[in-house]
Amino acid sequence: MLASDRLGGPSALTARAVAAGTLLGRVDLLAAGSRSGEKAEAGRRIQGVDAVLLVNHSDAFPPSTENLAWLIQGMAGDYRWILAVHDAFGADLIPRVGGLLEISPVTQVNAILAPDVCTRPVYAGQAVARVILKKFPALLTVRPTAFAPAATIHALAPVLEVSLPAAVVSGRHQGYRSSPNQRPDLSEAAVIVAGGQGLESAHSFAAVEALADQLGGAVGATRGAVDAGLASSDLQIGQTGQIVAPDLYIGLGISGAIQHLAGIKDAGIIVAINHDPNAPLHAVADYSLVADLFDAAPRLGEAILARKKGR
Amino acid sequence: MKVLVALKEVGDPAVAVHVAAGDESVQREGVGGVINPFDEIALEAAIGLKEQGLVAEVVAVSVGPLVWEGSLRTALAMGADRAILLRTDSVLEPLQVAKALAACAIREAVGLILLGRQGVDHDWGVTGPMTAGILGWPQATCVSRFGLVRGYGEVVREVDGGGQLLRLPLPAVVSCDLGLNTPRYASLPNIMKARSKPLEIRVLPQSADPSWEILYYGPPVQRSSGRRVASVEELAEQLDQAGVLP
Repeated sequence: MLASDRLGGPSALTARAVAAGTLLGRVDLLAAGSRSGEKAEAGRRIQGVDAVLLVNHSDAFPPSTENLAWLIQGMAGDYRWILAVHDAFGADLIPRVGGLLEISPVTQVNAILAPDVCTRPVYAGQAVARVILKKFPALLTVRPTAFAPAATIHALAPVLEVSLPAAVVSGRHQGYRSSPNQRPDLSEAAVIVAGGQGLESAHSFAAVEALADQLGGAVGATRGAVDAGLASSDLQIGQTGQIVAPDLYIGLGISGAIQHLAGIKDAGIIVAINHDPNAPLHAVADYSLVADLFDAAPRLGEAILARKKGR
Repeated sequence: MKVLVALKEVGDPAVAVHVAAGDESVQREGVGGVINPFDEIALEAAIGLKEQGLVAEVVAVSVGPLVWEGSLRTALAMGADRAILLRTDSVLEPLQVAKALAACAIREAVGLILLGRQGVDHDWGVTGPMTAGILGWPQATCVSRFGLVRGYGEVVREVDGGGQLLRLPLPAVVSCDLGLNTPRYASLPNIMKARSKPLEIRVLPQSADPSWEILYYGPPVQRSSGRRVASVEELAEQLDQAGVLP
């Protein structure tokens, strides 16, 4: 199990993938990439982690996908399954390991039914494929939203340092550009307010952001809103954006294209607010309100705040 | 330098697909094929590099059935110089596609492979990095900015929470994300011209040593449809009762 990475540091998604890994067998957690020591410290506290394997990078073995794939293929003989979260780190690395081992990975696994059987969504979530694993070590990336995170415990798993091979030709990391977004992360937020092309008439995402801030939630967007320049691409939810699973998702001015719906199916409660009664999002929403979002969203924010005060 | 652009054909993603429980295949009646949207972005990037005088030739390649010739003709009309169809009538797993692309890249002595970050049909998202692994070339996936600067690829990758800046020694494999560019439409004169551009068809040898098998496709778990609320106040009350308010 590969520890996940967020902008070169530990990621909370690791605990979700560990939960998937413990369905298969004993889990060793590989803490690699930049700030691997921090990833190891966080990982050794996750329930179900047997041992943490620490990669101490140096100039002789810098953190890169190419180096890590080379390292993992050398360790692969000791394992029956090699897993990672399906995020920008794992989805980059696991297929490269697959190229080296000549095994096709199974990506975006959303359920593990048996040691050699899992499922994954296809066609933007319009169908589910049941896959039987034939070659081992099997290479899997798991959808973090499909697995509840393993608990954090007091007992500490041992940390063992991994011996490293010679480095290979790699892309050179030049730095991260973190998103200016100060709100909670889409992947972890309990509440998400998302906007679609219904916001285009206002030429701004202000109505979405205001409601998100009132609820302490994250801001999300449809591909249409991103393409229209209303929101940055890292806020995109859907088949080719982020897959989210908040307790509450509120869609403002979102029609509900198949590709967007693929990203919100695991949400606890879905709310649609759209003046168009025929918008497909109404059909999958738990609560749908046919109304002008520019009028309804601020009033909803106020009504919710009033209820909180009244409690 | 030559650039290889890998393209696959997918059913029109705007058209819904239907699947019955236990089906062996997904039914897509009357759905025409289009170039996978992400691969179209890769093609546009390659054509742009050629227009800037940074690459000499753009070669489009597909690994698929004979009917994909149509998508390759479209690629030629958009601006690829020539096309290669590595023909197979079997449904291949990504490893076979990646091996075929890697072999093609070596034979054509290309300095760069561009392709989409994922096919929008099966959503594997693995062909680019698998091909890079087979070749031992550096890679960048989900790239939203790309330039060739003094013999290096300068890229920005889309990662959770922002972007990663990478400098890639060439040859390299780059998988393209949305935001990199807006693909052009093929003009009528260019569609006519594409008819006389070279399109080579080679038969891909059969291979069978599957990593996995797809047992069947089933319908996704459906959410039960909810209820209409009449007012903002009713909505707030319902959400409060559901216990999802922060």
